[in-house]
Amino acid sequence: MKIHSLLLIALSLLLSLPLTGCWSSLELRDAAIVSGLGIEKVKRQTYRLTVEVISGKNTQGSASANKSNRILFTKSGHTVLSIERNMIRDVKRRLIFTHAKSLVISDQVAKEDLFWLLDTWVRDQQPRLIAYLFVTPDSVEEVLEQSSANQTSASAEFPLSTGAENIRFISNYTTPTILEFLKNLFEPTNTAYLPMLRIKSAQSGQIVEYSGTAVINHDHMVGELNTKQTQGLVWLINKEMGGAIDTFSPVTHRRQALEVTGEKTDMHTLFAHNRLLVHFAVHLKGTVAEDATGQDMDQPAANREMEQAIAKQAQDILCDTVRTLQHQKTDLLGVGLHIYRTHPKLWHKLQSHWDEAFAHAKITTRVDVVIQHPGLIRSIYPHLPLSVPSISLPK
Amino acid sequence: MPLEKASRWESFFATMITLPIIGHAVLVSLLVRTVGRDEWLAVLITTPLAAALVYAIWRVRKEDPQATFPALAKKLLGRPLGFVLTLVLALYLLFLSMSSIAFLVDFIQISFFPETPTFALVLFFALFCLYAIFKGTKVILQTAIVLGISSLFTGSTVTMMSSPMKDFGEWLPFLEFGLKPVGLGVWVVLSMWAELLFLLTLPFEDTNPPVYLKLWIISIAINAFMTITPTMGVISLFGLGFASMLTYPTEETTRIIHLFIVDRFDIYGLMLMTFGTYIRTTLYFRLGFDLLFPPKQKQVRSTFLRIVMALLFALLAGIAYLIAKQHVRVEQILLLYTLCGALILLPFLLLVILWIKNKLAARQIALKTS
Repeated sequence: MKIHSLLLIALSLLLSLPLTGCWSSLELRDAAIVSGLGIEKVKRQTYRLTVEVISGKNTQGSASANKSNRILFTKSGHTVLSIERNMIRDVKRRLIFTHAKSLVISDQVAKEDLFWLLDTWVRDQQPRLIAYLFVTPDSVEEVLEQSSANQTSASAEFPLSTGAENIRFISNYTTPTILEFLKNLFEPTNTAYLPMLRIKSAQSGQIVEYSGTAVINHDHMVGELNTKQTQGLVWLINKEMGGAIDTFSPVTHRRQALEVTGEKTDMHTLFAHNRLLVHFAVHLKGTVAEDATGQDMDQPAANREMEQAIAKQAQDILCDTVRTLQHQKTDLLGVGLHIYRTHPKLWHKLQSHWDEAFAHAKITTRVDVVIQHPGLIRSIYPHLPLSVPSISLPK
Repeated sequence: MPLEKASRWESFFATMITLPIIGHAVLVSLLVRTVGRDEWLAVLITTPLAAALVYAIWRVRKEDPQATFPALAKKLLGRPLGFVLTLVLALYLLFLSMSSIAFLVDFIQISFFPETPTFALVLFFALFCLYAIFKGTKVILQTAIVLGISSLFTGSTVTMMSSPMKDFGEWLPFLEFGLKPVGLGVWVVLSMWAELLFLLTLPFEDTNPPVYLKLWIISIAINAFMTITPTMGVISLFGLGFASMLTYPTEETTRIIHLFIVDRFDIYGLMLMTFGTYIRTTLYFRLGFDLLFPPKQKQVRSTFLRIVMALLFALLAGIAYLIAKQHVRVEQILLLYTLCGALILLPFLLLVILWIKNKLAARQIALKTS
C-alpha cells in the first residue's frame, strides 16, 4: 500500500511538471512583440513588410518621453512567412504577432493582391481576426512611423487600433475588423470596405489621419469614398454609433450642429419592370451641440427648422454617397445581401450581373431627424426675451 | 474487477459531457460545409429519432437492469449472435475512444501548439487517461458529473459574450439548396446520436428505471440545443461563406472574445475540449474493454487484466498518434465516424426481437394455461 501511494505521488508530480510550461515556450526577452504591420508592393511578386515592434525601453522622464516605445523593421521578399522569418536576423528575436492590432496596406497592394498577407494572417494561430486593416496611398513605413508621433503613452503602442475603437465619438470613418472585412467579402456580393489613412501636414509636424474609405469589389480595391461620403456610407449601413452633423440655417444662415446619439436605417427593395428600386429611410436622433441662430431651442418651430436643415444636409451627403458607389458599380449598401436573404430566387437571377443591376438601380433616400433636447441651455445668446413658453402638440 | 453500475445522474452527465464535444467542436466544420444554414432543421428532425433511440435503449436495458451487456445480448440473441453484437459494440466504443484522442490532439496542434510534437501531446494525455481507466467506470462517471455541471453553466457564457457580434440575418435564406443538404445533415447528426449506444452497456444502479428515461430525454433536448447553438452561432458571426473555410469554427469564436484580463477566450475552448475528451476517451475505452473482458460479480483485482488494459490502450493511443500526425487523416476518420451512424438501428432491432420474444412467451403461457 505504501509503495502504491508513493508511486501515485511520483506519478502526480511527474504529470504536473509539464503543466508549468509548454514544449515550445518562448521567454519574453527572446520575443519581439509586434503591434502593427505594413505591406507595400516593391515589384512583381515582391513585397516589403514593415513591422513595428514594442521596444520595452523605459523613456519616462527622458528628453524623448513623448516618443513611443516602438521600433520599425523592414524587409522584402516573396511570401509573408519568408520575410517574417528573415526579419529575425535584424530583430534578433522571434516576432510575436498575438498583439498586432493594425495592418496597413498600400493602395497598390489593395488593388492588386489583397489576400497576400491575409492568407497567412488567418491561417496562423498567432494573429487575431479582431485586428484592423487600413489602406493608405502614402508610404506605409511613414504612416506607421508618424501614427504614434505626438501620442500620449497610453495609446502610443497601439495608436491606429485605439483610434478605431473611438468610433463611437465620430462617424465619418469606418472601422471594420479583419473578421468583418472577410465576412463581407465572403458574402454573395463579394464587396467590402476598409478605412483609409493619409499623412497630413500640421503645425506640430506630420500626423496620420483617418481619411476616407477604400471600396473593395471582387477581391481588389476599385475606388474610394471621401470623408463626407464615408459618413453617408456609415448611415446607410446602420453603423452610426455617435458623431456630429453641422449645417447652416437656411433662414438665418448661421451655423448649427447636431450631436448624433442614435441612428436607424430601413431598406426597402422592389424589382419591377426589369429595374431595381431601393429606398433607404434614415432616422437620426441627437441633441443640439451648437446653435448660432440665437433661437430658443425649446420652441417647436426652431426645433423643426433645425431638424429640416440637418435632414437636408444629411440627404445631400447620402445622395453623393449613393451616386459614387453606383458609379463605381460596387454595392456596399447591403442591397444585394438583402435580396439574397429575402428573395433568393431573384438574387440567383441577378447574381451574374449584379454590379450592373446595382449601378442602374433607382436608389432613393429620405432622412428624418429628431432633436431629443437642446442640452443644458436653450440658447447661449443673451438677447432671448423672457416669456412663457408656448405649448404645442408634438408632431 | 467488480461489476460497476451507473446511477441516473451519472448516466445523465455522461451524455452531457461526451456528446457535446462532437456537436460543439468536431462536427461543426462538417455541418457548416454540408448543411450550412439549415443545420438547425437537421438537428430538430433528428431529435425525436434520438428520443426514440434512448427509449429503445432504456426498454432493452429494463429487461435486465443489473446485467452486463454481453449477458443481455446472449439472452436476447443467443450465444453466437450475442457475441457478434457485443464485439461490434466493443469495437465501436474503442473506435470512439481512439478517435477522441486524435480529434483533441489535432485541435490542439492547429489552434494552440503547432510546434509541439504530436507524440508529446498524445503521451501526456494518454497517461492521464490510463490512470482514470485503471480507476474504473464508476470513478469516470463521477468525474463526469463534476465536469458536466461546470461545462453546462460556463458554456452559455460564450453565447452571451458573442451575441453582440452576431448577425442573425445570416440564418437566411431558408432551404436555399433544397432538402438534400438537410438530408445529409440528418445523417451526420445521427452519427452523433449513435454514441448514446454506450448507455446500453451501463447497468442500472437505481432500482427505479423510469427515472433514467426521463433524464435521458432531458439530456437529448439539451444536447440538441447544444448542437444547434454553436453551428448557427458560427454562421451568425462569420457568415456562411467564411465559416465554411475554418477548420475549427467554434474555436475561432472563442478566439475573438476577450474578457477583462483574459485577452483571448480560446483557452476556455481548450479546457472544455480537454475535459470532454478526457471523459470520452476513458469512459468509452473502459466500457469497450469491459465488453471484451466482462467483469464478474466477485472477481478480485487482476494484474493480468490491467496489463492487457494498458497494452490495448497503448495500441489505441498509437493509432490515434498516427492519425493525428496529419489533418487529412483526421478528416477521413471523421467521415468514418459519420458512417458509424448506421449502428443507431441496433437498439431498435433489439427492441423488435425483445417484443417478438415477449409475444411468443406470452402465447406459450396462454397455450399452457388453456
